[in-house]
Amino acid sequence: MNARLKMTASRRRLVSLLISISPALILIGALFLLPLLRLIQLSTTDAYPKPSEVLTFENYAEIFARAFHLTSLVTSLELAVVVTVITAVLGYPLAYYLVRSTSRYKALILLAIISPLLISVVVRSIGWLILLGREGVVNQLLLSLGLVSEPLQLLYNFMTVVVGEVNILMPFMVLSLTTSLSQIPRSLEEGASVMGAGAVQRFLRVTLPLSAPGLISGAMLVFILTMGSYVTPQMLGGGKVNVITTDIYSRMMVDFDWPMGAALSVVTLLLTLSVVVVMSRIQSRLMGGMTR
Amino acid sequence: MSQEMLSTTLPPATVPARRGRAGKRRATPRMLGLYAAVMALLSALPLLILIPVSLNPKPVVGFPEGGLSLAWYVKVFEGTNFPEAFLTSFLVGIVSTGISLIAGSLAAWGLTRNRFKGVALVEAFLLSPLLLARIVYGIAMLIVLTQFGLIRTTSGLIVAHAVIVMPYVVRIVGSTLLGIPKSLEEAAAVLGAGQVRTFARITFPLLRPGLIAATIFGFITSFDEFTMTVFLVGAQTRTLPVEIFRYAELIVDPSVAALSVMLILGTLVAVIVLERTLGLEKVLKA
Amino acid sequence: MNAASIRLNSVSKSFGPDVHAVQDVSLTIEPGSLVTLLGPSGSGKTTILRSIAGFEDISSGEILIDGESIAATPTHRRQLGMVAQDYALFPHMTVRDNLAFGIRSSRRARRERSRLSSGQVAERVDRMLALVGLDGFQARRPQQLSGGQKQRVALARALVTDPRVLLLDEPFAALDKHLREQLQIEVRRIQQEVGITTVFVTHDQGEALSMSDHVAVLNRGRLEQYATPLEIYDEPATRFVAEFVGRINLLDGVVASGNAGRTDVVLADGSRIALEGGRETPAGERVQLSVRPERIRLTHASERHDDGLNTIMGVVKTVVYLGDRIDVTMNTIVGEIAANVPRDRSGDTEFADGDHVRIQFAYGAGTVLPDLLPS
Repeated sequence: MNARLKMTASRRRLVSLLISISPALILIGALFLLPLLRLIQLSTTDAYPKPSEVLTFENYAEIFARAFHLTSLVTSLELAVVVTVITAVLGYPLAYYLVRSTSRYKALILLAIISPLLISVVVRSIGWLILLGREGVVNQLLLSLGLVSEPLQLLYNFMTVVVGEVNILMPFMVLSLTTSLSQIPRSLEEGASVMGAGAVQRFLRVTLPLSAPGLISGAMLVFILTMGSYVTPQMLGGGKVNVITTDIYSRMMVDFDWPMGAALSVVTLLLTLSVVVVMSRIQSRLMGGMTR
Repeated sequence: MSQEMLSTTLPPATVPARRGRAGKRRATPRMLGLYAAVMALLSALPLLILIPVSLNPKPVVGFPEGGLSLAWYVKVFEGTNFPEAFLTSFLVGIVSTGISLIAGSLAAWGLTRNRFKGVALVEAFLLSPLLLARIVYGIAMLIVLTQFGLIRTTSGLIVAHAVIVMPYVVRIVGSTLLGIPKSLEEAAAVLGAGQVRTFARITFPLLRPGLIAATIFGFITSFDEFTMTVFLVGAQTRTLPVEIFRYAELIVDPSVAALSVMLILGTLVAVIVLERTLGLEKVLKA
Repeated sequence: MNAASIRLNSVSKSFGPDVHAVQDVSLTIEPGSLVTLLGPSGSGKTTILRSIAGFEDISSGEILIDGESIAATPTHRRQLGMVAQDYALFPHMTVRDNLAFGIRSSRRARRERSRLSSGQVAERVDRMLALVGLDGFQARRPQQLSGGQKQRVALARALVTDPRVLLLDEPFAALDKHLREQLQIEVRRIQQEVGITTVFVTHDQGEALSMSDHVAVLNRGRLEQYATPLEIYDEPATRFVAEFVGRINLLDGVVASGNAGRTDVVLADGSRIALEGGRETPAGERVQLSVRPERIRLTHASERHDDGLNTIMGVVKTVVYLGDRIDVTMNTIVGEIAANVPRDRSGDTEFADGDHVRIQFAYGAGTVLPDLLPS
C-alpha cells in the first residue's frame, strides 16, 4: 500500500519523463553517436576490413603531408568563405525587404527564396544544368541573339558551384536574418531619423549592429553547410571542382580506402566544429556587449 | 507600436502597401522591392525552366518549338527506374517519418513539460544530427550498416533517415507544445480528467497542427535527402534523388525535367498544407 | 452542497536545498468559507494553492481535505474546481464544451455517479452559465469573449462539476480596475450562494480584505497572521502585516505600564501615548506603536482642540488632494507621520506646507507591535 501511496506528483512526472525521452535517446545514441565513434575509430586504423591491431595516425599524417588532400580542403574552405560572404551581402537586403515590406507579392517572393529547403537539391541542379549547359537555354538564347558565335562554357567551374551554393543556402541566411531583424522595433530606426541620422548612418549605427547576431548565425550555418555539401560541387563542378566532400566520396566509393575516407570525414567534422565554436564565441561577445 | 515590438514574425502579406501622398512614405524603397523580385526570380529560375523543357516534343533540352507534348511525362513511367525509386523513397519517407514522429514527439513532450537541470543537455544531444555534415554521417552509417549486414537494404535507409528527420520533429513539435499553456493541462486535471483523457481531449487536438507540419516537413526532408543516402543505397534500393542523380550523370533529357516538374507540383501541395496548419515560416524557423 | 474543510499541518515546500518556498504553515479553513492567501510574490501563496491542487508535492507536513490526507490522490481525483490566472479555457472548444468537459470527466473519475444523458449535461451547463450571467454564450469560443466574460466562464466551468473546494489563482489580475471590482463582488456573491469552500490567492490587499472570511498573510514562505480581515487591518500581528496591508505609521517606543485593557507607551521624545485594548505587553519592552493614517485627526496648532486624545505636534511636509480626502505627511520629533483625513468645504481642513499641526488619535486607534527588525 505504501508503494502506491509513494506515487506522488513529482515521481509520476519523473517516470513519464523517462518514458517519453528514452526512445529518442536510444535512437540518437545507438544510430548517431555510436556510428560516429566507430567512424573515428576506423580513421585510426590502417586497413579495412582487416586492420592490424595498432592505433595509427598515419591517415591524418598523410592528409596534411600530401598536397592533393590539401587542395581539396583549401578549395572547400575557399568555397565556404566566398559563398558565405556573397549570401550575406545578397541576403541582407532581401531579409530587410521581407521584414519591412507590406507588398502583396511578399509571400510569393518568400516562397521562391526558401524553395531550396523544400525541393531536392538534385532537382534544382538539373535545372541549373539545363540552364547553363553547352546546349542549355542560356547558350541557345545567346546564340539566337547573335551575342556569341560559339556556345560558352558556363558549367563545371568554381563560379558555377558558387552560384549553385548561394542559391540553395540563401534561405538559411535570410531566415536567420529575418528572425533578428523583425525583433528590431521600427521606432528605433525612426528615433535615429528624428535625431537627424541619414539612411546610411541609421543602417550602420542601428540596424546592422542590432541584427548582427542573426547575421552571424546565418553565416555560421551557411559556412557549415557549404563545407558539407556534396551534390552541387559534384553536379555543377562536374569533376573539375575538387572539394573535400567529393574527395571523401571517391576515397570511400571508388578507392574503397575507408580508413582514409573516415579520417578525411573527421577532419571535416573538426574543422566545421571549430568554426562553430569561434563564431558562437563572437556572437555571445556581441550579445554580451549589447546587454551591458 | 507595441504590437510591432512584440511581433517576431513577418507582418501579414495581405496588408496592402502603404502609399503616401507623393508615394514617398512607402514601407520600403521601390528599388528594394525590385531587387527582391529579381532575386526571387533567379532563385525560382532553375525550377521554372524545367516546365517548358519538360513539354518539348523533341528530345532536346531547350524551349519547345512547334507545339507542346506530354510524351516525356509518359516516358517517366515507362522504361526508367523512376517509379521503383519513387516507391523506395516513399516507403523510406513514410516509415522513417513515422518512427521519428513517435520518438521525437514523445521527447518534445517530455522536454517541454518537465523543466529539470539536464533539459538543455538532452535537447542539444537530440538535435546534434542537425549540426553534423550529412556526408560524415553517411560514411559513419556506411561503416556501421556494413558491419551489421544492413547496407543497401531498405531497413538501413529507414533507420538512417529516422535519425536525420527526428531533430526536425523535436523542434517543430516542441515549439508547438511551448505554445500550449501548461495551465490548460492542469485545468483539465482539476476538472477530473486523468492523464490519458487530458492528452486525448486537450493536448492532442491543440498539438495536431504541429504534428501535421512535422510529418510533412519530416517526409520532405527524408524524400529529398541525397548526400547521406548515396552511401547507403544499393542498385535495388535507390531512392528517387539518387536515381535522378545517376540518370543525369549519363544524360539530361526532357524526361528528367518532367519528373522534376511532378516533384515540384507535389511539393507545392505539401507547402500549401504546411501553410494552412502551422504556417510555413513557423515550421522553417522552428 | 458538499463544502469541505481544509487543514494544512506544518506544510513545507523546498525547491532544491536552498529555496524554501513554504515553511511550516498550518491553518484550518472552515467549510463554506472563503480564505485568502495574501502576500507578495515569492511569499509561497501560489505554491500552497498548487500543492492543494496537486500540481506540486509538499516536502513535509500534510494537507487534509475533510480530514483525509490528499498526498496520494492525484489531481483529477481530488474533486476540485479552479480558476487560473490566465483562465485556461480550452481554445478548441465552445463555452458549452468547456463546461461539459468537466462534467464528463468527473463522471468518469467518480464511477458511482450515474450516467448523465447529454440533455442533463446541457441542462447543468445552462444553469451554471445563467448563474454567472452568461446564458446565451454557449456556442461561443473563448477567443470571442472579453476578459471579464472569460473569467465568468472559467468560474462556471470550475463550479459546474460540483467540487468540494474552489481554488482561485489571482483570477482578477488581468482585468482593468473597474471590471475587477465588479467581478470581485460577483464572485463573492456566487461563492456564498453556492456555499463552497474557497481558497483565493492574491497579492492585492484590497481584494483580500473585501472578499474574504479569513486572510492568511504570507511572507517568505511563512504564515505571518491568519485572522479575519478586520483583525488583520486593525490588529496586525507583525510589522510585515502592518506594512503590507494598507498604509501605516510605525513609531518606536517603550512600554511604560501595561495593565489589562490599557497600555502606556513612551515615545522617543518622552511623550506618553495611551492605548486601549489589544495585546498585553509587559512594561519595559521595546515596541512599535502603529497607527493607520485614516485614524488620525488633524488640526491646526492654533485651533482649539479636544483633550482626551493622544497628541503629537508636527509640521506639514506634503499635501496631496484625493478628491474627498487629503493625504498629509508631517515631520515630527518622533519621525515622519502620514495622515489621511476627510476634506470639508469649510476650509478648516486646508493644510499647506510648513503649517504647524496637531496630530491626534484616540486611545483605541493604535496598536502595539513587538519591535522587530524590518522584515
